[in-house]
Order: sequence, then structure tokens, then C-alpha cells
Amino acid sequence: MVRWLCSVLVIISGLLLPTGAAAFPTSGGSVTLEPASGRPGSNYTAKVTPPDNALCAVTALTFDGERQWFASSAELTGAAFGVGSSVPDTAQIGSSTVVVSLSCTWACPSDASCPSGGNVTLRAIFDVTAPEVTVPDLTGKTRDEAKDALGKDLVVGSVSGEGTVVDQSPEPGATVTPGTAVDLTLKTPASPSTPPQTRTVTQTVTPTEASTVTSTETSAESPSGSPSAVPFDPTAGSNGTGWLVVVVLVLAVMLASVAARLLRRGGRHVPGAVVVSVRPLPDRAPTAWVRERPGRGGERR
Amino acid sequence: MTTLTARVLLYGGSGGSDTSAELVGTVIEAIELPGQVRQQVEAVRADARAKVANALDGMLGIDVGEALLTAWSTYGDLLRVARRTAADSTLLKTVPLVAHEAGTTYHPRVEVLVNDVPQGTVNFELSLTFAVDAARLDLTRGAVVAVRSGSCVATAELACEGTPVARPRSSELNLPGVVRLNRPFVLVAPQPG
Repeated sequence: MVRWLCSVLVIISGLLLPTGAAAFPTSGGSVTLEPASGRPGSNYTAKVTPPDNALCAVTALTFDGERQWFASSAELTGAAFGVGSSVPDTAQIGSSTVVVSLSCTWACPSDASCPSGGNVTLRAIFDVTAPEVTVPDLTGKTRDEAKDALGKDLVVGSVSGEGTVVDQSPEPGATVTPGTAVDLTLKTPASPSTPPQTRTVTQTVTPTEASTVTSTETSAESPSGSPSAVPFDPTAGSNGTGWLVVVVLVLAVMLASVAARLLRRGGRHVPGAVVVSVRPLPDRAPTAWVRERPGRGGERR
Repeated sequence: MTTLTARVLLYGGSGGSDTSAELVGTVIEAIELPGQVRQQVEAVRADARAKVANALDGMLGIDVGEALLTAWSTYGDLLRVARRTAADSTLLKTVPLVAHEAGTTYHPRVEVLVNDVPQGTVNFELSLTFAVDAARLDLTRGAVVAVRSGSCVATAELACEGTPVARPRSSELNLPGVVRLNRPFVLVAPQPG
């Protein structure tokens, strides 16, 4: 099931008052939706505190997306009321914004200080901010750092080894749904003062030539991975096989280095990943005008 | 006392997250995305619209009182008095204004980038108009230093690429309460000496 991250914002969006009526005392009319955040499929309760002495009725609670899902009504009197509802499965949601609206009308006794009548619409907007998230590069991070880097959208899955992250699944840059577990493989890093471990590889090329190729390779723990660490005696192979091996090795190391560098730069450079950003450009030089209204009050000196 | 902003004039509320949510909710679907963004999948387009709407929200904290002062800075009669007070630093003039209409139009824009590559801008127009009655201003040294009295009906309109995205909303305002002069609003630079 597609997961949605929703933030719930509750607002008083509209106010319709009869002519001459006082404004709805918004400072006294707090509106909350509980829980304050969640995702479709959860239950929500809208609560309103109407003006003192007001009679308030919930006339509708609707969820507007591509279709209307729910409508409910409740009659109540008093200072506070609530109505519960359920949002259906997210698979039906085709819009990025789901609007919950709750309409409330009220009336007061004639001697009350509150408005004589009116209507207020409360809307909660579920702003779908991240239907998918990009897996960050956790290489080199400790377990706790990796957990922090995953934020609230992703969780740490299985962890093997100790030290810092040398491998992860899914790979950095992968696009996944929120809540996905990222498996980590940890390894204790080599001490910076310790030179890269080397090992000698002895390879007999051909028995008839009775010669050997000796190369020094940087071990897997080496942070450099530089191809220059592979010396080679070109006289060792008369048929060119040795050169071919070197070229292939150099190319492989270069490719791996480039790929690792790209991944370290973050998901936005991974082909297919799209990062949208915006830059506000306020108007520093607005246009202004003034014109007099003939026939109205006021005087000029 | 809080500053009355264009955001609140447009959408009411407290000017906080409730007002912003109303703004984003009404604007988000009206946004015409530029360039390559239109060809992206729905999730990316929705993300872009939300970011544009939030960026717009951030630019609507315009002080309504300052918008009126900006409009007044084009008022010929007021400028004439301002020039006199700028020429004589000892002069303090109280200026009653005839009933008039004033307006200030802002054109905030939001540039949209995909992977840091600009794709174009989404253009908005915020129009604030004022029908002013019985305003009296104090001027000295070429600047408005106080609004003594007056009222106005302020109307705010917002459009995206020429299409209205919020119905015009009007509020009746008491000018001394709205035009808050923490420092003089200079109409004409005072002359040296």
C-alpha cells in the first residue's frame, strides 16, 4: 500500500455572517483535529469550542479528494463537541491534498454577547509531502548517525558487524516508500595512521617461461582504492596477457571510484531522481497609485 | 499589537499556520508549473506545487499599512506638503486628505528548479486597494510621522498567471491602528541645512 506522510493543518477557512452580525470570536473558538497528524486510514476527531452560550451543530464532515468519501452529522449543545471519522484507504486518493471540512452553525440567546448567528467552516488539509523518499548514503556513518540520517521517514533494519557502515540495502539514491527498513553492514574502520595492508600475489604465467608476476594490491580495507597501487612488471608476459589484466583492473577500479563518488554526492545525482526546489523572488518595486473620489467626504488643503 | 499582513487580509485567521494552510490549500491547485516540471510524475508535480505555494505564503507577509504608505508616496497633494516640510525642518504639518482610493500591486514570483536547473517562474499578482476616508497625517522633514485619524476599506486580491486564486476580501480598517509608523515614512528626502 502506498504510504502517505500527512501533516494536518486545521484552519478556520470561511466566515459567513448575517448583515450586522459581529465577527466570530476566533480567539475563543479553538479548533483542533486529533491526532494532529497521521495518514489516511486513521481516525480523526474534530473538536470545536464555540462561543459561550452558543448552540452548535456539526452539519457535515467531508473528505474531498477526487471524490467525496464521508459525511456525518451530529447535533449538540454546549461548549465543546466532537465528531469522529475515518479516512478511507489511500489507494483511492488521486490528489495531493485531502481537505476535511466541518461546518458549524450557531445561535445565541438574544441577550448573549456572542453573534446572533452565523456559520463557520473548518478545514483540515492533509498535505501529502513525501509519497516517496530517497535513501541517503550512509557510508562511513555509525549506527546512531545512520539512524539520524534516515530521519523519521526510514528506519534501521537489520544490522551486522560493528563500526561504520560499509554497505547498505536499499542502495543510496533508491526511491522507497516511507517506513522502509534499511539494512546495514558495519565494519570497524582501519586506523588512519596504519598504512594500507598489502599482500603479495604470486602468479605463474606459463610453466615454460618459468617467470612469475608479482603484484602488490591494496587490500579491501584501504580507503583509497587507487589504481596506482598496482605495479606490474611488463616484461613478465610475452603474449600481452599481463597488460590486458592490468588494463582491465585499472578500468574496473576507475569505474568503481566514479560510481562511489556519485553515490556519495547524494540521491539527486542518481539518474531518475528528481529534486524540485524553489526560489522566492519578492517584488521589491511594487506599482502604486492614488485617485480621488469625487463627491465623497473629506477636504483638501 | 500585531502587524496586519496581506496574508491575513486575504485569508483571515490569526496569520499563523491556520492562515498559511488556508492559503496553500486554495492556491496549490491553481499553480501553473513551468517547463519540464509539467512532464514530471504527479508526485513531483504535487511536491513542486506545494513548494511554490509555501514560497508564496512566505512572500505575503507584506505589511498592509506599509502598502498604503507606498501608495500615498505617489499622492501629488501629499508630496507637495512633504516638499515644504522637507525644505523647512521646523515645519510640522497636519494634512487632511480628501476621500480617495489608493492601491499597491505586487508581483511576487517563484522560480522552480529541477535538480538545481531553473525551469521558469510562477508569476503571482497581489493587489491591495484602499478606499480611504477622513485621513489626517502628520508630516515633518518630508516624512509621514503619524496617522492621526481616518478609516479605509482595504481589499486584497491574488492571482496566479492572471487567474484569480482567491476571491477578493475586504476589511474595514481603522487607519491609526493599521498604519504603524515605527519610524518616519519618507516621502521626500529632507534638504540639507
